[in-house]
Amino acid sequence: MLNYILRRLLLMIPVAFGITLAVFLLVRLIPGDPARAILGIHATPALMAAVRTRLGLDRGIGMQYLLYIKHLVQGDFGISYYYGQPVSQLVLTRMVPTLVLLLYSTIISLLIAIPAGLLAGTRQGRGTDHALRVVATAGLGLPSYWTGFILILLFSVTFHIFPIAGYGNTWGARLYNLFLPALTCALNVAPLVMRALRTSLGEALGAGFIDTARAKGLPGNVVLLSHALRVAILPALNVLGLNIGFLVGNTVLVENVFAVPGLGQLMISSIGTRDYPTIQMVTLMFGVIVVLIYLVTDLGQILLDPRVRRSELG
Amino acid sequence: MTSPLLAVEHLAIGIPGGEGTVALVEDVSFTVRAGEAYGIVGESGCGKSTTIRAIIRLLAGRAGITSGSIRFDGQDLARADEATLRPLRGAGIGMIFQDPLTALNPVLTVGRQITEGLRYHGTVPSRERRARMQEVMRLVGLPDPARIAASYPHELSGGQRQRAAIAIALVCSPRLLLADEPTTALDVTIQAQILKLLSDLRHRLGMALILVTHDLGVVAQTCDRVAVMYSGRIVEEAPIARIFAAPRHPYTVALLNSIPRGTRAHHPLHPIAGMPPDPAERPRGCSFAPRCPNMQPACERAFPGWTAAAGGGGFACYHPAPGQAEASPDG
Repeated sequence: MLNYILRRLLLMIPVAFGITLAVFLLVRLIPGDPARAILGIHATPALMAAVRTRLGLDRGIGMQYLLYIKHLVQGDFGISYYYGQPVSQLVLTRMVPTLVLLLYSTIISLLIAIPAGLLAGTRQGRGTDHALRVVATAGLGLPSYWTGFILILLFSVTFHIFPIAGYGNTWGARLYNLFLPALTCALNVAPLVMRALRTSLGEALGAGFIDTARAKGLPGNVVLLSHALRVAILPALNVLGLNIGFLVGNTVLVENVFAVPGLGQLMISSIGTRDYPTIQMVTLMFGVIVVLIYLVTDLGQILLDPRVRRSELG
Repeated sequence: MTSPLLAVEHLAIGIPGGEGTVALVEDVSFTVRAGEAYGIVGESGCGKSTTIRAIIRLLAGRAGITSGSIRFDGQDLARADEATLRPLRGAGIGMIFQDPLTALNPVLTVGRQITEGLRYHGTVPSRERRARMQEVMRLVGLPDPARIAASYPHELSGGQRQRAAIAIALVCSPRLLLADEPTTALDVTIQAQILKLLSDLRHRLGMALILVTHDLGVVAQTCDRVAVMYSGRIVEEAPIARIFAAPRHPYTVALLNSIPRGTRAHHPLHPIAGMPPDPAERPRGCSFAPRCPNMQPACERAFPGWTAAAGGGGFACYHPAPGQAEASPDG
């Protein structure tokens, strides 16, 4: 097991390098000049040239990348052009709200998807199933920035149940404040997980081991939960894992709609100020988070499915 | 004679459809005494699996019992609700299925699947469950119970899986074991082992057995009496010796002729020409008539009634093969 995790973590290194290269080049394709953004109305050609020299932007792009990588492997992610403090500090403080949001929306997704999937999977072809299919398709089709605003309108403006935006200082306040953003993210993921669960549950319920379980005289809910769901949840969790990966991208939008001081918000503001080191590290962090989520998903499969355990761990 | 353990009377099973109910099983009656081994043979789709699944009320899909009764221990299972059936399943009547590959839950250990029945029937206190599990595993011939109990189904061979499935069915000591083609999915050598195991267990535990198979050879090794089913009905029933010595129904005769007899010359294989009818389009009269060598016009008018045969059992045919007294000895 430990060997497997180490192998997977080692595989992350080339992926991380790929990300740094792509981001480094893409960032420099954004029209606009960091020197102008820093100097603002004071920009003169001479001052801008001086700033560029100070930031090292006057060198060739290949040289710039090599220097960036050289500092990176030493653990130096650079100084933010805009905030003037080490990027690593900045990113670490902003990472917490994003991770909380991700975990929170994963939990809400499961809380929606498992009961809905059980309902649809046990009533396939009937009214409940069709109704859930319509709701799921709608949830899937609505973009999160739109659902975000609608939820704000409904729960914050009209009914005053949840705050419009913000994060909070205590964990209680944070969970309360982050509920709507997390729900917004979950509404995009839950339908996929629910549909996957519906399909796999249908298959599991038709399998021979369900006959065996019923022939033992087990109560119906035990047959459904500890036999059918126990098997059917595996593909659904895989779908969940894949989609939390996509969810990471979604948090950028949702954090901006709800003013959550996370990585996504930092990323957007840094793009505005052409803060190259910050954009680079935030993107790298997003990449690392996605790869780690996939690792956790695969570890989950290994833990929950003895068949995978044998083929993966030898 | 005491009353039978199981009495199935005029059982009919159907699937409701757009144009009325499609009958899968019609007017099936038979009894099984305590400790007896009863075989049900027939081609695929003749309703034999449907019949025994109905006994434990595990019919697939929308199929349901349309009439008749299934008396087990004085209770009518055909009309029982889930709450009545649950304590009987596993504890009164155990069942094993055709494919041991799919019959076990792939993500639970074999041990957990064996002890699960004990947990919900509450007959064995929790600290004695492990001992009971090991006892039943040894009974079905699973070596090294502790190791196999901790294994998952994919780590076992086909024969071991079927033994585990039998252990699951036996752990609560049922008085009747239903076996739905338990050897079909196994290698020939393993088949023989499993059949021998079922026979031994029946004698040691004094349990009744209903064995469903398409293979008369399997029935010959295992059963006391046998019913031959064709197109949803029992067409002949007989003590095991009689079915081979003097089969009466032309379908039984045809089934026996289609058994490969090894190296014996002058016994070429005679497959039965044609196919059983679709349950939705059964002929009005005898459903075997279109394939029957003895067919007469009367056969197509109405289903033949039941004729009792000498020495037990009977058959449903207007023009049966000659009985034992008249039959010429088979060379």
